[in-house]
Amino acid sequence: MTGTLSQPRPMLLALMFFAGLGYLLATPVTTGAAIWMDVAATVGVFILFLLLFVPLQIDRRAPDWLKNLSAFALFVLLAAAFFRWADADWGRLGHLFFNFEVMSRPGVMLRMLSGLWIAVQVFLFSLVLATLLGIFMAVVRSIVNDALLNFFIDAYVDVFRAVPPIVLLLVTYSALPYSGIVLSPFATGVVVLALVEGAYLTEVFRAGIEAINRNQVLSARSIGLSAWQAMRLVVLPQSVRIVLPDYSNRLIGLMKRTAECSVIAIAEILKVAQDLQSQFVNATPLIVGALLYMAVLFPMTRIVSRIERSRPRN
Amino acid sequence: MSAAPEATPDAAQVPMIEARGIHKYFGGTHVLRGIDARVAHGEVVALMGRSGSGKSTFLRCLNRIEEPSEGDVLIDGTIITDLRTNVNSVRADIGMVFQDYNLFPHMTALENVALGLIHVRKRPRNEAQDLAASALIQVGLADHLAKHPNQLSGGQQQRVAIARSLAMRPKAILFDEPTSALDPEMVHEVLDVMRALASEGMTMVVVSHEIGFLRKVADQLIMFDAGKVIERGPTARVLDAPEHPRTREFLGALK
Ligand SMILES: Nc1ncnc2c1ncn2[C@@H]1O[C@H](COP(=O)(O)OP(=O)(O)O)[C@@H](O)[C@H]1O
Ligand SMILES: [Mg+2]
Repeated sequence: MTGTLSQPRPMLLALMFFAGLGYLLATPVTTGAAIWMDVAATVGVFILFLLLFVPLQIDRRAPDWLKNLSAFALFVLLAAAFFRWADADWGRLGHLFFNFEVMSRPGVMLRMLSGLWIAVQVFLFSLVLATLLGIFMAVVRSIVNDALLNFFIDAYVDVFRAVPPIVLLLVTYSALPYSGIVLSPFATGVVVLALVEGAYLTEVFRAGIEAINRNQVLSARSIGLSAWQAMRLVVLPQSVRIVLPDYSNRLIGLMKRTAECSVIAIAEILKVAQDLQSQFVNATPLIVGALLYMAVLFPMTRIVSRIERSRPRN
Repeated sequence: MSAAPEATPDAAQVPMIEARGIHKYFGGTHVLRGIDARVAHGEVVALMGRSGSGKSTFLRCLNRIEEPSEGDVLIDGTIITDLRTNVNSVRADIGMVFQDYNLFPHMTALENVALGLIHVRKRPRNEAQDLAASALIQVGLADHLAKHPNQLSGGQQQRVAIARSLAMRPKAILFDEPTSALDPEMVHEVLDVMRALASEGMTMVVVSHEIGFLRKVADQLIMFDAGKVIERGPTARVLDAPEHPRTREFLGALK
């Protein structure tokens, strides 16, 4: 019994999928007393599907594409059940959230794409600044190692990690006009994000430096290398591999946090999408905005998880 | 019993390394309690003593990888325990070989050896690489120039470490238990290199408990105990007729 149940049966699974989908799509929702029959039938579709689905997923010999395809089939069935049972005004939702007509109006997609470009610019500029800041702070902390200096660096790290970036953005943006400092919203956003990210990266790089055995520095110094040379030639090249997974994970967070710059009127993706939304009284730009973020972030997360898998042991 | 420094052949000359009244405190612990030592040009001096007696700390004071709390170190007659001394150039002139090799794992054997030549001695890269290669050939590693440390055996890594010191043309080399981390079958390959260096006249200070090797190579033996020198003298004399009871106890336990 268990033997036959645990056999993967892809053909039967496919048959079950089409039967279930047919039922969910073709028959209208029953009302009244017979609704229990309908509920039972829907549940039954999923139980039967899962009985065939699970053995395939846990079978080690089953090819990956078959596993992915069947997982997708399960998703389709769930979606079909949702659409069948949810009591929603589908036409109205479609009009508000998936409105191609709105998106195809002149200049709309162009504005969305320029939002993407600005978001990427905020990301890149603040990334470079934050990386330099983080390396500088971590290296100075390790080499100079002066109590007072360490106190200030730790204070910077703690403060900027303890305030939500969006609050910092708003405070800086509102305070600037009275401070006599003239900064564009774009520059303000870049500087604030870089300061926040720099605080996190200081910690990331510090951990990477401290992970290197102290004897490596002694060994480098015994050849006659200066402290800075030992850091640059011996410690940092080894820290890179240790730091890379955490560093690349922070990149993803930083890209997402560029959305917070919308509150200080930087015309990045979210700001543009919100402007278009109120202009056309339609939420489709928000959906397109989400897709734009995904277009950037999917490849990034893919690369990052590949880097994570190559994380050096020990 | 700890007589004045032994009358070596070069006693009249300035010693290559001289330590005068070295003290070292780590926090409250008094780790070195007034160490004097003289190492003549071309002399090999062995340091022995139980673990924790301060041998490594003393050795590290000689090139100021550890700062002595009190006392002076002179290299070739020049005081190096002086705030104005450029420690980097002092260290470049004194090689150091560690128990656990401490090669740089992200570099090949050749790059390990060339690093100091390029960045401390300021030699052009290709010249540095030639010098590094010949140092590696000298320690018998001609076939391993392009390998990373993790592709080499312990004995080979330690020989790279020796070549790394050697390539800098040092005035002296300090060895801190260079064979203690090695598998027994690799010990001799490292000792052979060290013996060759000694016979070529390299000044060496060696922390080691390889009695047979020290008997052949070391001119002078210094016994450490609890941060002090308890006995010193020509190696064969100290090994065969130890005067201090602690030395006898220590040597007895080694056999
Ligand atoms: N960096 C340090 N901080 C504190 N104590 C130390 C440090 N290095 C060595 N010591 C202490 O100094 C004493 C001598 O150590 P060491 O010189 O390594 O002895 P040996 O090399 O003879 O085994 C030991 O008690 C050790 O614990
Ligand atoms: Mg030691």
